[in-house]
Amino acid sequence: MTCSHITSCPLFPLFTLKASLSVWQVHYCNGQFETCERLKLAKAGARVPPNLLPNGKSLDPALLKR
Amino acid sequence: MSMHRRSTVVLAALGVALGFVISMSGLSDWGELHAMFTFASPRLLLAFGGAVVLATAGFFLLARRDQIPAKHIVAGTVPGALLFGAGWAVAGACPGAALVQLGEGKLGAIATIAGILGGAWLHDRLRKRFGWARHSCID
Amino acid sequence: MTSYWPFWATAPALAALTVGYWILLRRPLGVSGVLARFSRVREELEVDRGFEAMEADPAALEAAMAAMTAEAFGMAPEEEPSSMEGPALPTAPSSMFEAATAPGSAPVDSPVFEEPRGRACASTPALGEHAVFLVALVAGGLLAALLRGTFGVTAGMGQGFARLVANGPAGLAALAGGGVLVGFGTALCGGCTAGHGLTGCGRLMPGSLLSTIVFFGAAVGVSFLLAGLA
Repeated sequence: MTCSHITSCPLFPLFTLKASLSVWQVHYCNGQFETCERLKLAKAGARVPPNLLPNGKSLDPALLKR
Repeated sequence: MSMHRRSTVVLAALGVALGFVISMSGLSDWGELHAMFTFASPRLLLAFGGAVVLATAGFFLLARRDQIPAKHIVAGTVPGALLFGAGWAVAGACPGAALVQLGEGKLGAIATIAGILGGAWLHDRLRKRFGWARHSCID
Repeated sequence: MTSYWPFWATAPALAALTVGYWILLRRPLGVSGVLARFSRVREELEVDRGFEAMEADPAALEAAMAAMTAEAFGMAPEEEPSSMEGPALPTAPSSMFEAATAPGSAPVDSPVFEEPRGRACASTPALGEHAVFLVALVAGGLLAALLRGTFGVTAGMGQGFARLVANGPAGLAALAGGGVLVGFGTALCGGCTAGHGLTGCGRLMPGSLLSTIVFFGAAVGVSFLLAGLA
């Protein structure tokens, strides 16, 4: 089973870009997607922050700013 | 705001083209839509059906393995479609056609568009309040 | 009576636009979702800022992802060579948009991806870009009306509407009410005639096929009701 949101999630293409990131996809999208924090928020009707990772941590904006 | 220059131009061109086709085909004309829905004229029904068939063929030929965002059957599918269809028959406009009507000079479309925005706003409020599942995480 | 295009002109035009929209922009054609964004501008601007922050510096994004991956799964991020074997891959996407549009963007050597996959969806356009799209739809209508010589500022929706629905202010109220049904309904079912009817059905998506049948059915039902009540 795969997560029903796989084709619309903006993180999914990111995970498939490098082999080292595929672990996210294996663990969540194609694996235990019910534990994905993005999916949980979406199912609760809440807005999902663009930088939220499946494990609930956020991609640190400070690291991303020049 | 991030603007991908090239894609914005393409987006605008496609928007104008779509608006043009909707208008030229009569999909923004209340009377024509009514004729379609009451089977008084087969023209628009054939147009729509033909478009779906051709689009299916086009996607199959040109984008078979592409991952186009899926549309699943969810709890809101049937009730939402019922409400939308009813509104479409009364207002004579789906969201795209309402904007096209504005371009044609039909100022009544301002009321339609205001209603659409109000309806979308209401849905979002209720969705957050009652925890209705989103269609995707970037809905 | 205005003469509109015959079905054999409209059908290929709509189909070409539907498929072309995806091919050129890596986005599924749809209007209801775009319009709905403008009912919650503040929230959508925040989302845009979030995407913008992620896409601003691809090298930093890659580094941040590597760090988060190591933290989450407790393993050192592999040192990726700057060029990989197999189909050409972008080493550092200059934007998620371009990353998603790279052909065959699946690492060949990974056991997860056994077959070449097609292009993924691009990231959500900024609110400003979406505004451009909506204005372009209006412009398209204007262009067509000018071409047909039917452009005219009017408050009504034609004779049929006036006869079967309402006239004057009551007519405007009916349009607004119909609009509320359209706005709420499209948000609830997740698409409109373009999103479900054209794109969704064109991809044979279950949600779209069902939505399309139901909203057409509802429109037919209400239309007969309006005709009967007149």
